[in-house]
Amino acid sequence: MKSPWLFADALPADLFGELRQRVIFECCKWDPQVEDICTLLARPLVLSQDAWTELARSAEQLALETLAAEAELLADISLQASLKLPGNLRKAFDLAARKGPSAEAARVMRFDFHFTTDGWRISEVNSDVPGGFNEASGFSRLMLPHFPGCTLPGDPAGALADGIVAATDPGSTVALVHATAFTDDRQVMVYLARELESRGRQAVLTGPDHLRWRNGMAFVASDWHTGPVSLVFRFFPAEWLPNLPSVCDWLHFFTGAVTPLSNPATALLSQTKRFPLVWDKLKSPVSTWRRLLPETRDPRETPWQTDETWVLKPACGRVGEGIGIRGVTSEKEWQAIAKNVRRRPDDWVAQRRFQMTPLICGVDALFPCIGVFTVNGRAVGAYGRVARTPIVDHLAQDAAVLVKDSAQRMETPGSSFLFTHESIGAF
Amino acid sequence: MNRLELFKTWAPPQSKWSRWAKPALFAEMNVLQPLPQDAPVPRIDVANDAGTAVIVDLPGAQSVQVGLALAQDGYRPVPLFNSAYQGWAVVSVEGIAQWLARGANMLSGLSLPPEAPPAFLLDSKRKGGEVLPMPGKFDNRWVVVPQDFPSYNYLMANGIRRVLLFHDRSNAQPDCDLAHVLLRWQEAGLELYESRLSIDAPPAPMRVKKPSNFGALWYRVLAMAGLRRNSAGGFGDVVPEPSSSHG
Repeated sequence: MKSPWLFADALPADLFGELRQRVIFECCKWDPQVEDICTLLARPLVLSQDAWTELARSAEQLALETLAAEAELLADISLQASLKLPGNLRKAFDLAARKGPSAEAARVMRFDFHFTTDGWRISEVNSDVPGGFNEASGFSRLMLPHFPGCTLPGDPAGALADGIVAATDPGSTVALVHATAFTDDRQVMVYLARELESRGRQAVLTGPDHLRWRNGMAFVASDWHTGPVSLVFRFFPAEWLPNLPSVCDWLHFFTGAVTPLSNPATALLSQTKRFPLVWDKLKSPVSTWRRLLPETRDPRETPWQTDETWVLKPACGRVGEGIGIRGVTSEKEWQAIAKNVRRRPDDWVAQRRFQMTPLICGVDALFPCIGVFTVNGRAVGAYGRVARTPIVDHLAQDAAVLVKDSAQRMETPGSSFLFTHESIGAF
Repeated sequence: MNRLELFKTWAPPQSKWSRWAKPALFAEMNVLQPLPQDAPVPRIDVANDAGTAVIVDLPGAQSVQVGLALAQDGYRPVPLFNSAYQGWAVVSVEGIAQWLARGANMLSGLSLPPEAPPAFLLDSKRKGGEVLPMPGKFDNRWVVVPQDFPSYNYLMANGIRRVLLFHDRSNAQPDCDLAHVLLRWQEAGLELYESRLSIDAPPAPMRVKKPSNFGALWYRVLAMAGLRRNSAGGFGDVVPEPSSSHG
């Protein structure tokens, strides 16, 4: 099978060192190092135009199906049983079903694609609080000039800001709600704030505990800002909302908010990895989902303990944490995961393992993942990550994603970078 | 001096330890004027030892001051302050920011070699303590995780055999989050020492006790989840609301 991407040479170390510092300060990339790993990859992932077109089209179809499925699940809470949501969240969904969901705008999702021996597959959707904007927009933009002949697949942060601007009045204030103590989250908010402010909106960075509601209208009550907001952008996982003090009235993220939300907490219905377990009960076709996502089951329905073709995933897992793949995950980790699955199977799914096709780069086998963002259903850019194992987790490196049309060779000042369709091998 | 220039001063590309410097504080701080190059900074008496890495876990500006003192003894200070810079914050970082700026000229004037051993700088008040995390305050507390530091293999490959912890705790055990880092190194074979700045005594050997969740598969997630919970209303507890029983 022909590889969808052209893998470019790495930038020289001194040039990339300078670029790394620009990414830190211009693109708010404040976590450039994890243990011994530089989180930024010195070479871009270059997709062919045809491959990007295919991914963008698939992502848009997936977004459409996801919204339809969420609406159906929201309207009939009996369909949610297989999701095994915690009790406090079930109560919130029950209220949302009876009173109607909160207002929403600028719905953003990210679908994670992997190239496999069977073509493109997805591993998950980040439909609740997708990240990667700084890298997908900022890092890729800074890498682009070094690879003439390429273009960007989009600008997710800009598109998201455009979506928010379209839903708000000029000069109004947008609340960027996040875990303020977590600089990995704050860096995303600072970057998005810059995008919003360049478009004539005020951004207030705030914790979820500083948000208050009056007749469905949101306002911020903190020592550094007090006042109403025209939209609430939430970068705080929905499953954490019940931890908030009652005065925060977090149910508004599910129902009763007149101030539009991006994203509404009802996104949790598709964010959970147990989402595929309800497909058979839905009227909505999820044909693209069925085509691209490997078979997914409740762990109790599979022989995962003896059959190595099943992967174990936590239902609320993010960034690849806690995924168990026999032979890839260390034995110690596998045993811990297996114990947890046996004890709390409702919190897990078993998913058929797919065979990622690594990019062979010298002696390295690299496993890329392309996260395609959609805003209001439209594909707006891509976030690249490259792992050294088939699990794309927090040790994966961020890669700029560029799109090349047809030429195989690109010239850059001082050196030339040879682009070839990488040979791919079964892993 | 702008923020990028200041960061480059503290994390020069040629140093083998700069990659671990945390940029978050630099990226948001209001940069002040550096001190003249010959301005006085505290001195401490530490023998330069290329085989020793130092961790400075002292409150706020004192951590930076000791870092500058260690720089004069040949150590490369590596700021690991992973905190947001904002007013009304639970953890005051103003003093840290001031000293990062004030010490810049002195640091660049030392022309430390790329192989200078590292002195990792932490704020021992990173989990709060001075300001109550009252409603309305900006929660910028933070923790360290093993991934914030070089691995044992990297340390060994660069000649580090010992780690010396400067602290101001009443007992010799490090704070829980730092214990996760140090115990990994201890188990891998590094020698650990501790020194209380307030006590005029040579560094003493240290055996780090096992903290909760040590080696847990999801420790990093748990630690991060702890931070998320902070922002959602407290460090393992709910931030007291005025109307609540916690007052």
